[in-house]
Amino acid sequence: MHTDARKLENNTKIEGDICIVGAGAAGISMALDWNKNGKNVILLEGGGFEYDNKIQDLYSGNSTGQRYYPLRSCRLHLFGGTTGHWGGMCAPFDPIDFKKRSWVSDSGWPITLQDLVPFYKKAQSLFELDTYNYNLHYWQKEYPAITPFPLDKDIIWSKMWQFSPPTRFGKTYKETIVKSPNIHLYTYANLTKIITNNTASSIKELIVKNHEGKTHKVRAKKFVLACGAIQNARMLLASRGVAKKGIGNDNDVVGRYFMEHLEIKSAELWLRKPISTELYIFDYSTRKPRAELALTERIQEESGILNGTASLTPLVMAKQQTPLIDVWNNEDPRKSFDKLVANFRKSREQNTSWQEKKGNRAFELFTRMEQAPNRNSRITLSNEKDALGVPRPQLHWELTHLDKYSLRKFYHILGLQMGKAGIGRVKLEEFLWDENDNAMPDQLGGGWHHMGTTRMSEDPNKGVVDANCKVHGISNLFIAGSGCFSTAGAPNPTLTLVALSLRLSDYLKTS
Amino acid sequence: MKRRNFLLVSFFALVLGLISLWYLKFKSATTKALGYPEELSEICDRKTLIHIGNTYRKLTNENTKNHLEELLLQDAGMMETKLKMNLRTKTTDDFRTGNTILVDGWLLSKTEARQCAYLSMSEAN
Repeated sequence: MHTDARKLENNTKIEGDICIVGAGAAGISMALDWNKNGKNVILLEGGGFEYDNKIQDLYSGNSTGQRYYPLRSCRLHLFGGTTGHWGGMCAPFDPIDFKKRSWVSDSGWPITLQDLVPFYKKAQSLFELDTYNYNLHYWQKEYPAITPFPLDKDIIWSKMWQFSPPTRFGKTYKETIVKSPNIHLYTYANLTKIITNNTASSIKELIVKNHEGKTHKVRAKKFVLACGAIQNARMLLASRGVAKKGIGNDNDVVGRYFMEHLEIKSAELWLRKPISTELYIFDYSTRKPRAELALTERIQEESGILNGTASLTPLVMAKQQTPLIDVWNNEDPRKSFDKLVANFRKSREQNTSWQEKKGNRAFELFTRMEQAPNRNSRITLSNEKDALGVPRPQLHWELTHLDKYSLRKFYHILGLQMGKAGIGRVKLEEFLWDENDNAMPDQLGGGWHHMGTTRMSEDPNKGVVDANCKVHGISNLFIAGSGCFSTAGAPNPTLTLVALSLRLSDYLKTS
Repeated sequence: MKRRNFLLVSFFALVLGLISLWYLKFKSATTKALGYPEELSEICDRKTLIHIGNTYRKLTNENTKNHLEELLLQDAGMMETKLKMNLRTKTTDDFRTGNTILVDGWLLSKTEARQCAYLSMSEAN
């Protein structure tokens, strides 16, 4: 079922068993999991089925600290959420990502990779991916030409990726949601306030509004916030009533530990002789899995560094590319997206000539690395309010010296291994030359991956949600999505955030 | 001069000449091998190698040809082939043991960086 909340009578009361706020990857995945199960599911979406500039503007905000993309354009505010322009890269987290690591402060999840595996398998199909197998040997049977570099396997391994078409949730799952007998989708229903009971121990109702001046109330037994890491934290902080510091924020953790992936051109790899790089080069014409170079768990521990990967792009192509942070700089996500596509197209044209030139041996090494959890990297509220009266978010993206150290060390190890194996030499980018320089350059980008603002921990002083994604101290409020990540891992978060949401869904069904 | 003495002097002169020739050839081959970082030469052109060598000399105190020669010839054989093999092994060992240096962003084995330095000095002379 679908209702446009703008067409409802003002002050309509909406009631159901469970209310999911946000119809992006997390919210839609959860709703689909409840399809035809007899429960009355309310799915609230602030936008509609098409892009609406007024709605998108509700996402505007400012940022300080490390340079970042405009908050207005780095997410999409419509049915389907940011899957409307995502790239489709999927890989599960590594076992180490869930572990407590002595060299990474505030690391460790209260769950393990094994806890997520059944849900990763389920998530695979939502993204129209192949089987849940990220083992190189498995894929080599199908694609014998994908051979890894002859490097020391105790030190370097090839982390596999699969590629979603990419699935646009807004298009792919619209019909199923709208025709569902028990899922009731409300578009143009923007959450503006969460109301608790008198002791702030449970959620009583939600207030939703739209630009047409309509205000409605939503009641349910259980509420799930699935609006993305920035928006979830914003709504908890903005809903000050009985909870003076915001909902779930008694211990001042909501909004803290904002994490992104550190994405930047970091080095060049020069091969002595041409060897097969097919495993590592993304083929735009197929969805063939590919790999990135990663360091083993043991080496990460020995070196005291974060988890990360390096991808290879022919240098002739990479040299045509402008840093992503300089490309995605328009407040309008459609314009930024167009610029991004043009940036890739420019380098792809070079790719044709590169393929023709046999024996090209120079590659750009591009980093995708987790950011160390950092309390000071955070979302707060600005004094400015949006059109519906909600304070705008303020991002302070702050990195630590472990981030820079890990980047430099990663390429140092890679360089040693390339030399030892006689494959070639690694040339580091200038920002990594000085060991005493802890600053990150302005060219550093993120992956538009927002994580950690409602992080998972069994300790309410360290996290906002528990192992089941339930907000500490609130009996019926849950968070879905990457805001719950305790650490960021190296891979893009979409597959993991959906797996985590499906695990939450499973928990809600059985609890 | 008696005929016998003449023959003796000629013989020794010939031997000395041959030794000198052999030494010059050996010296030239050694110089060539010391200034030729084999693997790096497959990646960088001569100009870049010389630039790396000049930068390496500025980063370190290894600023004379004799000193560099001494360092590069440690444990090396006298024969050209043996010397080349030794430098090749040393280069790989440097990467294995972490005996490396960052020069202009290049993560290099110290041996090959010294070879670049040696080359840059040979070039300057």
